[in-house]
Amino acid sequence: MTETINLSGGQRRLTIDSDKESAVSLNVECAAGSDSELVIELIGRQPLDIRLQGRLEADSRLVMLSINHCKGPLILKERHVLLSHAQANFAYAQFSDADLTIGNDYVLAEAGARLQATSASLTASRKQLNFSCEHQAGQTEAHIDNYGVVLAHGHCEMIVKNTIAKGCHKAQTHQASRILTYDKTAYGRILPILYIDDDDVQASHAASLGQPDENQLYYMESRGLSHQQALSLITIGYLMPVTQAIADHDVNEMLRQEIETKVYQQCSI
Amino acid sequence: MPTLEIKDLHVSVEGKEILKGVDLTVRPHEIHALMGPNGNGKSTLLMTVMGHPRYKVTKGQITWDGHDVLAMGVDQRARAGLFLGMQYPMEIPGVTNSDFMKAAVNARRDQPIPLFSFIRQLDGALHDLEMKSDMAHRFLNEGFSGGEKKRNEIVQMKLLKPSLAMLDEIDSGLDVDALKIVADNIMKEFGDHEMSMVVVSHYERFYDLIRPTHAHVMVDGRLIEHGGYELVSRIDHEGYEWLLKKHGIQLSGPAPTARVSLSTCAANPQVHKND
Repeated sequence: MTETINLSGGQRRLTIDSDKESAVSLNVECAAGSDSELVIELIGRQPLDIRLQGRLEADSRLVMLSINHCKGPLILKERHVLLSHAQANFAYAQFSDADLTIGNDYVLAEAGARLQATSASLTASRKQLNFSCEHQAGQTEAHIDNYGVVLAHGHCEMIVKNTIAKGCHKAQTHQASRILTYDKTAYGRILPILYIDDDDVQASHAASLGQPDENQLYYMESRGLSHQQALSLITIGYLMPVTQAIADHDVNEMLRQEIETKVYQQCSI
Repeated sequence: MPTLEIKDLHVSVEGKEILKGVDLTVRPHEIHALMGPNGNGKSTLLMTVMGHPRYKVTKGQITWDGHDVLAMGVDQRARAGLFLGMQYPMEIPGVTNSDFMKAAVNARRDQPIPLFSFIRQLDGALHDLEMKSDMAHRFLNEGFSGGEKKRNEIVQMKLLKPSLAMLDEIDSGLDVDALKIVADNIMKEFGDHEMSMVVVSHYERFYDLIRPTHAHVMVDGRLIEHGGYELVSRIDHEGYEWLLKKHGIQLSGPAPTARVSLSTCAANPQVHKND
């Protein structure tokens, strides 16, 4: 299936069912000066391969929330190009039990382009997240934030690469990747990469990988919450930022319940 | 009403013995002041009663209403009526005060508390502590000032209505007005509900507001002196030196001054018993 989605404002919802389509190619075009939201929900039991090309014209704004409910493995590859003063906020909620490979590239092609990309993963399977952001112009800004909770036998790898080309003065690029492991059999790996070829820029990276804070758990349990309840609340708090991309109560509540259910079902430390 | 009994309690942290044989009985309607220089085991005692996993009990026992506290998990102790207002309340990003407190209240109930009833109780407690109502929707203790964190501990205490409240330097970080508000709320809970308390503070002005029925001084992991309110007053006026002399204890760190002061509290002296 190949589809072009032209966005000129308002909210669009798209559901992709892997039982009906195994390979999907999407072109998302945001008109100049438009302000749009796009919610993509992925469902189905079969393997799914998605290629998404996005183009944000000058002064456009796009919020895109991708929610993965697929029961089969998913490969998601996106490439977005942001033109002058375009603003993009991409959020990826990955709570599927199946394997996942993400390979996303963002290109800040013209001055004033701004990117926020956030992912939240709760996994007992294998999740491989690769994000790459390339600043091709000055006065551009990018923030890539990844949060992962890895349950028993889960595997989560985050590789984030930010590149600022020579001559991109006043560019800002920042990345933060965090993984909580909830079991001895859980595996996490973070690889932060910054390629900076200009002096007049701001760049930072942060990475943390470890178990939930013993003192936080103690504090919550000292008020009567069971270990599971405390862990559940901490996990929800940890992963919920991804839902804040879109101010939609129903979507937020659905994601919250999904996190809660999965934590109760699966975590065991 | 239940009694807390601690007998010959020895506690180690990372292999170092902190408590070296503590005996303490807290009966219903009693308020126990726990004093002593910093770094001598007061917080360790409270954290151990509440079950912090880092504090290992190597000897002795703790019972609450006749039940073995050491056999209970942290959450079971809380649901049994124990409460610890912490010296350094944890910040938990992403978890709102309101969600946390509702979960804590519901942990004690067979049926979840009706939403409006909970909101009414929470709003009432925030109002009593003179806190802004938006505190309910902020993340738990995140970005709170020191004073707000301490008030928030008492908000939790009011909602959870424990039978034994242990308050660890709940007065630190509070200005004079806030100290009065917090103390008034503590005493209102004490009066309204059957409750006993163990209170750690360095200052008579706080004890003056809550009027302890008993006072104890802990040095080097032991309760070396017991008394009533007069002991609090004497320490406030004379410091700990007379007590150390009386019990033949010499501090290896900076000697405490004649009066209790912040510098003394922060000295964290090591202790050696005179031969």
